[in-house]
Amino acid sequence: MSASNCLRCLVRPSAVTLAPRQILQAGAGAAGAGAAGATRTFTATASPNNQMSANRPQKLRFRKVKKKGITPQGKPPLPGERKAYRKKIVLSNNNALPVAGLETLRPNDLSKQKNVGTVMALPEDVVDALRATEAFKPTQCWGIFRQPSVLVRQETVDLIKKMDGAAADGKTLRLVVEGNRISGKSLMLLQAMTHAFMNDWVVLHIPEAQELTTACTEYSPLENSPLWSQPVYTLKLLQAFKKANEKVLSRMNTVYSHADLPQIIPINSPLIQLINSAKEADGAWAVFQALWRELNAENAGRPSILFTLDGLAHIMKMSDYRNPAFELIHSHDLALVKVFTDCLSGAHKMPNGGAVLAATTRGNSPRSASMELAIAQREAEAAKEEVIPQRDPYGKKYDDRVEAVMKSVEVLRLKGVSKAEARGLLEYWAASGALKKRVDEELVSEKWTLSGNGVVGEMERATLLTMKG
Amino acid sequence: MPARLGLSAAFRSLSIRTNQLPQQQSIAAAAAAVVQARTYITDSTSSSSRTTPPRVQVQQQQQRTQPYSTNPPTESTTNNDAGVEPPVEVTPENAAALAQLSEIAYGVKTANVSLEGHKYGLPTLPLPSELHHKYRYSEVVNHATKLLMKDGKLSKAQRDMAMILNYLRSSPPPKLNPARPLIPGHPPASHLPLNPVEYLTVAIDSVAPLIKLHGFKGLAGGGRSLEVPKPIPARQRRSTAFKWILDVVNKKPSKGSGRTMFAHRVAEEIVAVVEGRSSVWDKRLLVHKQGTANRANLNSPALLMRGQRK
Amino acid sequence: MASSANALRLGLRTCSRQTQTPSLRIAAIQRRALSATATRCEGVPVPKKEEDAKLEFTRPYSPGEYLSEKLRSGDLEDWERERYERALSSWRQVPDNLKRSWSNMVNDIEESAAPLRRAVKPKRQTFWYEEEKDPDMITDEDGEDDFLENDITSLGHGKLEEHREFREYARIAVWEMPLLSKYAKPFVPPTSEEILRFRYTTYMGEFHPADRKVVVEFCPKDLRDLTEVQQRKLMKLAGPRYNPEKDIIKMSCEKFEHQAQNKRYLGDLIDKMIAAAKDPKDTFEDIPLDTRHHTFSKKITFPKEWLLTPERKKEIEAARQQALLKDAEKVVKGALVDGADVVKQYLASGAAEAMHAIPVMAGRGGKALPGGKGGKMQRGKR
Repeated sequence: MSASNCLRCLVRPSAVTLAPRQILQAGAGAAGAGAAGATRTFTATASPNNQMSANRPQKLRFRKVKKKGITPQGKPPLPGERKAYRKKIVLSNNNALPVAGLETLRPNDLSKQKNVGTVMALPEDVVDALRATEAFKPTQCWGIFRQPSVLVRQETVDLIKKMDGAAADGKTLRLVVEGNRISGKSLMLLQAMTHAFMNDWVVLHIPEAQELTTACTEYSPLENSPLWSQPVYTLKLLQAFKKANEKVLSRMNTVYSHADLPQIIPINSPLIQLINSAKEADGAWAVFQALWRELNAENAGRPSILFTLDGLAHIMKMSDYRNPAFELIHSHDLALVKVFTDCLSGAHKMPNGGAVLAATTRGNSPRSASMELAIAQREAEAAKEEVIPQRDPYGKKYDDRVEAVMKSVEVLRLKGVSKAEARGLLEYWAASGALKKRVDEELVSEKWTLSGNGVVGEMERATLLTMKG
Repeated sequence: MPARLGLSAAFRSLSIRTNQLPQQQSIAAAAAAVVQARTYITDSTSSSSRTTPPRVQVQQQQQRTQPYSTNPPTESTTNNDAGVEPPVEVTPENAAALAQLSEIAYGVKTANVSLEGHKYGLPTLPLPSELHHKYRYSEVVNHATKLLMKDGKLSKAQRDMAMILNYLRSSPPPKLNPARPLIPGHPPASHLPLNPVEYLTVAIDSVAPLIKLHGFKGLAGGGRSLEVPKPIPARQRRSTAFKWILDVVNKKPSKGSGRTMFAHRVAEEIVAVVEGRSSVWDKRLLVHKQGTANRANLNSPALLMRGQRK
Repeated sequence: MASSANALRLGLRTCSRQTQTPSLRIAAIQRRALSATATRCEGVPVPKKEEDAKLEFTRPYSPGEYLSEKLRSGDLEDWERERYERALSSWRQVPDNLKRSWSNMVNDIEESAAPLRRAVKPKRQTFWYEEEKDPDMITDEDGEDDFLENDITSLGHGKLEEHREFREYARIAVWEMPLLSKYAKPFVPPTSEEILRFRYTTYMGEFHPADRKVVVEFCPKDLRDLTEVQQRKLMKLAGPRYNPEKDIIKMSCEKFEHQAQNKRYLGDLIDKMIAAAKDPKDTFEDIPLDTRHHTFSKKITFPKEWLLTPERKKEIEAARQQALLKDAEKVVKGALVDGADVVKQYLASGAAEAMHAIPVMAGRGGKALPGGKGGKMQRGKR
């Protein structure tokens, strides 16, 4: 018995387990003739099952057994569903208290000095339009309050006044909104767009400049031009533009004939029809060009245009696209970006007036030495400083095209809000039930100081995104 | 000491031996300084706390302390004579304070501790717990946050907890299930979203088990363990409940992606607990049933014997 | 700690009493990569094998033989010869048994001392000379380690030695160091003519490869006879040796064997640079100063606005008063918002129940997925 058993120990464990029990036992009986007696006595005393478990070399494991993962229950999410969940924007919370005395914005409210420091609600149609242009971002705290509302800051009023002034003179305000992280740059764009929507401007907004230059959307060369078009993005932009500006566009008709479009649009047909003619991505760029020409038509009673872009640094560098020679394409060689940069540099003049606003971004933004230098120069010029920052003579990262674009822009630097504005904001939060404290000067001062002298996003972090409940 | 250590230590001490003399000197100097400082301290306390005018008191105090001081008396007198008086800086504030003290001392006016001597006044006691940095959050929230924490990353856990609370704040009021009654005295369902901390507390306290089963090994005979129900304290109840919730959460597939992913799953489970949909309730029920079934084991002779032996 | 280590330390100290032999400086020997012959120092003679001293005496001399041999040799003074003869005659008068016993004694001594004089050849075949005796270190005399109570222990000797050393340095400090003061020189600040600042390194007489290095520093602005353009050109010529933060050019040289040579070289170099800077052919005005080699340290200064001046204190106090007034005003008007109160009143009013009693279309809050049924506000973004 012992001999056969020991021999069996040397057999691979897999062979032992796989071999049928009867065969093994028969083999043991036949082979071990000398020890047959012993085997027989063993099998007589122990049940065959026990013998199996006793003989099997159990501890011989050559590979770590993998932990059982959690098997997902239910159907897996569809492609894009998880991203949609992540990017989902909730703009209201029915649990939040309605704020007594909260006024809804009227067309001129954002330019009134007396409204500085008050929180005002966005009108519903404007909210829809802003949503269509993707002006709201998922990281902003809209979902805590009953109704989307914004704080009117001193900078807001200044900016809106400038916009109005430029539009009245038929000029274009070209301005870059700059500031530290979470200091309200994107929200400043949103307020400008709100004002434009309320005053029947035409608003074209590029919500994330990085979508244009990080090579995540299709591109194709344009005929007879060194530029590159991005048809899919252009189509998406056109549709968002139409949805956001439907009210204004429905009043406008074409003044030019457009023969080279996929669908022939005669003179004096509705502008909506022109946009609708872009059904496929292929013709989208031609339609966009035609639309741009129509919007800039002189003496046709066209409204002012607000052209905004968030994430300026992304279009102030080489893009991630490559040309057939496998060289990187400059961002300004992308047709859509070029439209914006032409407006920003003043090379393209909007005959009906308007504003071109660009906001820089601090999260996930590439360094653009030329852009930073240009902003510093413009600020120094505006402050009439004696020493204007110059290029580092041995720096290699400068880009002439970028500096040419930003040669004559204005810069609006956002810093923290004043204490009066902070008080308005905190009172709104308290009245909404999100801040369960008595809002007096002590609390305002505390939060204002905690948030780096009133940086709005930091104030939000210190007040709304805490475990205080 | 092992020999090899001794050798290295020997060389080390060889190399530093020249430093010994100055060190001893400095220690002596420091000791002298300590003795001097001690005399300063006695001087200053006596001058401020006694009611007699300060100068006279200083002299008396000095004479009284001499016999007990470690210095020979001649030395301390020389110290005194050499003008080791505490250097009193006469600033306007000091003068005002001294004048005030003397007024109080002569009984011209009584001392009002709450008003005088404080730049910003005294705080009203007891202090609210949120003013203490260790107790600034609610007890349950703090406890649950620590349980959420992985790899010691507390600030990430706190961010997650903030997102959980904000989710609860913006989710619709729960539809309570009468079959799964919440903890008695809970606020009505429509009030919960406005108090997310209370929402979380109600959820955790409602599913918290009252008992746990303690297995005494081998007492049931035949090598089986004897399961005995045992009441558990409040903190342990909450721990158990929240760990159950986290177990369920970790098994759930996540809907979205990004930073809110985990927090929203936890929050959804908390809502499910309050609405009575969660499988945590079954766990609780099971523990309670087992406890009820095994309550006879409390009087088991084996257990009693064991208690006696101890 | 104090036991064994301290004992060892003190033991080592007594052992290290001998005067230090001056270390033999061995001139660098050039080695071949492979060599079959042993290296040796230059000038050291190779010992020849035949010259091994003839240590063995063939036969012991007797005094009679020695004296007669001396007399026979003949090159003696008269008084010597007289003495030798006297000694020889007295030796002959000595009885024979005494002579025999003396020669026996000499023979015995010679025989017993013979193995000591014989040179011991190491046995090459043994393992680590295992069989060889080591009479110097291993002795087996009984009681040789016993302490005879007539001396202090070696530990004590070590301690004494330590004290002696302390005292020696104390003596030096008290008696000899004050004498150094007569070598002291008053500090004379460099004049405006002495613009170069040299740094040398000495290792107190020891040889060191770095002691030949000389470093010179100077500020280009101190060169008065250069115009500003020329000074800027000098900075550009210096390249990375120019520190723009301190406005100093710093150069070093260690390529010659002696300090003086290096210093001379630096001096010549500076002269050359100045001459080049004065050269009007190319003023380098079109080339910007390159400072890439230098990282500017950021200097953080306390903002002046933060200083608590009396005016600032007054300002802050006024602001506090204003704030209190503002709050009081709000309280009077009933416009002061208290978050906790607001929520309490809202819940007490039953508005929350009323809000959710009516069926709401939206899957509020985070519930609605994009494209799902939802109100206008709550619709997700696609």
